[in-house]
Amino acid sequence: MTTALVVYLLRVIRLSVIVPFHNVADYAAQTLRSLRRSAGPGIEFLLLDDASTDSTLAVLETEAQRLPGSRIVRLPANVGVSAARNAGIDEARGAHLTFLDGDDFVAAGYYPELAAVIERLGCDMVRTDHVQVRGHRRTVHRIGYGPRGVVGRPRDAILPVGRATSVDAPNAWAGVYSRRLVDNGLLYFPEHLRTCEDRLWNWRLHLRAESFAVVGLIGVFYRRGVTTSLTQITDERQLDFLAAFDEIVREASADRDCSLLLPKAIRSYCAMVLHHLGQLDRYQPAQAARLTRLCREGLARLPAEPLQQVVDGLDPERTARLRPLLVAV
Amino acid sequence: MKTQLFVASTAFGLASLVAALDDGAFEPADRRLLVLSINASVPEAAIAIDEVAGVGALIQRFSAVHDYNAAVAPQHPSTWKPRTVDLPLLERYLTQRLELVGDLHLIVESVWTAPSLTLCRIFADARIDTYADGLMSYGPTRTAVPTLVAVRIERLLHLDLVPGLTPVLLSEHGVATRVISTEAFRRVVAGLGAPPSEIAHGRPSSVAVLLGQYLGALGILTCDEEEALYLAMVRGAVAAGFKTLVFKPHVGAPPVLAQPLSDAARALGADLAVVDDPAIVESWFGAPALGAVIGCFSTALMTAASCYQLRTARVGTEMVMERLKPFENSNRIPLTIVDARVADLGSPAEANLPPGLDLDALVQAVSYCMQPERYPGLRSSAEAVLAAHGPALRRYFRRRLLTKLDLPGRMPPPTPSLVTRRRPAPGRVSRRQVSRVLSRLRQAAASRWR
Repeated sequence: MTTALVVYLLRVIRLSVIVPFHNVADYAAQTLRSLRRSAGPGIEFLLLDDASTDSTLAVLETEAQRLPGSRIVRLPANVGVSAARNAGIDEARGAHLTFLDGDDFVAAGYYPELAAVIERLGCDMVRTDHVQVRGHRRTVHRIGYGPRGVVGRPRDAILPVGRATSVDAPNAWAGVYSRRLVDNGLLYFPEHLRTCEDRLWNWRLHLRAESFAVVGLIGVFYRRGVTTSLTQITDERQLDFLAAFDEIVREASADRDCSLLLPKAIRSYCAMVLHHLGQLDRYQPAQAARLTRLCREGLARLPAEPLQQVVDGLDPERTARLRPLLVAV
Repeated sequence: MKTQLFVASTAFGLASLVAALDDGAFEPADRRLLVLSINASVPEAAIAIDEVAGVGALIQRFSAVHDYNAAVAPQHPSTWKPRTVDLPLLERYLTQRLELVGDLHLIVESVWTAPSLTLCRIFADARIDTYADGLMSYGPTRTAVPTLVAVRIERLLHLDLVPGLTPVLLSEHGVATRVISTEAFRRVVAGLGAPPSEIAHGRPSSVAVLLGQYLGALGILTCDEEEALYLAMVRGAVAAGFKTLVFKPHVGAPPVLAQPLSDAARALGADLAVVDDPAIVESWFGAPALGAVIGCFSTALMTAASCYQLRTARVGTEMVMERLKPFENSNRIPLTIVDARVADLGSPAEANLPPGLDLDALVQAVSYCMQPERYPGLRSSAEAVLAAHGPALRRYFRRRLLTKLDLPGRMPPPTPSLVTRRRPAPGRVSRRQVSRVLSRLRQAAASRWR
């Protein structure tokens, strides 16, 4: 009540929700209708149409009329999710910021709660759990970090090497961020990467943000199995995962806790390589050969000793799959 | 202490329940609780029932109202099906959450499926009544109701949407039916929101209401075909002399883009408004401006005709019947009823059913074909209907299914195979067998050239 009154009197924007949309006409209306129940004093919704070629913009224009605090931003050309989110960050006026994808949805009252949580904890960022949705099936996905609801240093949440931690949960929408991270540039997404941009973004936040907390607020519903089959262009984009992880390794190498953190970065690198090699049959033969070569070259760039230790620490099946790639290029 | 727990998922269902209360369908109780469940594909994005105009007054009739979606979040009410071993725990959880005391009486819709079935399973000692949420209840039970639930179901309450027609639903368990008074329903609905301005201010009988469904979203039609269906409604309404059209999208439908429909109407010299309002369309039916209600197979077509004596017309039922798969799809009975009872928009004078056939018999025959194992008692009636009227009823049935069920209208048996089934011992082929094979070969060759 008091907060609401202060917000009303000062016209303070507590939270900016940045939602890029690109050709998601079938889902955009549901996204916006769910936001209607998460609207509230001091919450603004920045709806960025990333030059959709379907009826997405028409849907946004219709539905935004019923969404208090919303603003449509039309991007002149298709710039991709990173640049669209960055444009949203530049438009945002809130003391805190969060993201949502244009085909996902949220629980009623989620954003007022999310704003209240980061206001109470006062840290640079708060990461949240989320729900994955396949048709009507819903499963809760949690971040492997504790204690919960307690402010700590995000760099302490990167380890251990051998299990999924907060740094392995890169979804930008599963969290809320202080404006301080805009001011020091950490919240901006790397626009040169066409995939895994959130991995690099998340690593940087964990290495350089001062404070964070993980809470069990499950308000974001993340739709799986929505995107259409991989096109050749998508294949090409997929290869950027190597560039993203090269940068992660570079950042970890330059860190003051390099000896502790580098194995984690290398292990994630290896996991990503294994993931892509496991899907080789989805690629055109020429693409598959290129992917294998690039993975081999990527692994060759990694510092030999920690790489050897990481590979030895994997389970035998994965070690066996990686070994052939480790021979000298 | 007696507690009645009513479960509703739509404003229409809630209105039916309150009408049943007004009609004296329930014995006195110490507490009457209402549980609301939104079962749309994304309930988080759907309009809540209590946001519908006028529903607040209906909710006042209950001692307390609870949100089922919130109770099972983040699960979806339609997919959350707890394991049997967990039911006692959940009974304690819900008893606390809903503050239940004493004997429980559940009044649920669609008892064969979650969330109604889930509640019936959890509250293993409760009495159960079920109520119909539309035309589907005239048809067969879609999936078998577990015995431990079925044995407790006492009554099926339903609106008299098709006067005289008896629901097949749950008849396999000997569940009694009880009609909810039309008068009571009309009184309840009259208390809901006012119709949109086009209807509130129109001249008497000057407005045609077009009913949207979500056949595209259900995968019954493509989205383009569904739009074509709506365009046919627009053309038909204008051809029937209407200049003011109001299109009402289904509450559960994904958002429609209004532009193509209003453009089509304008090209024909009429005005069309899309009123995407959470109100139930029945709340418009009492307005004097209403001249016709046009749809494909919406329950509202029958409410309009039976409860409000409005002029109704259908579009596209025959095509949808042809498309609907599998045969036991529960939409088949609403389709059959509307096709048989409502006039076609293009040719209103055409009689729907052959003389001498009543709808009860047709619905029973179709129901039998949909679920033959569940309703063996309906077979003789199906045989009689098909024997007497088969050719005239072709669009309601599938020839292949009639063949499989060995009913009149079946395909003729295939020409007997050229080789006799019982293989004679080698070297013991009689002269008669040889001549039979030869004559069949000759016949086959002759018929091929005919």
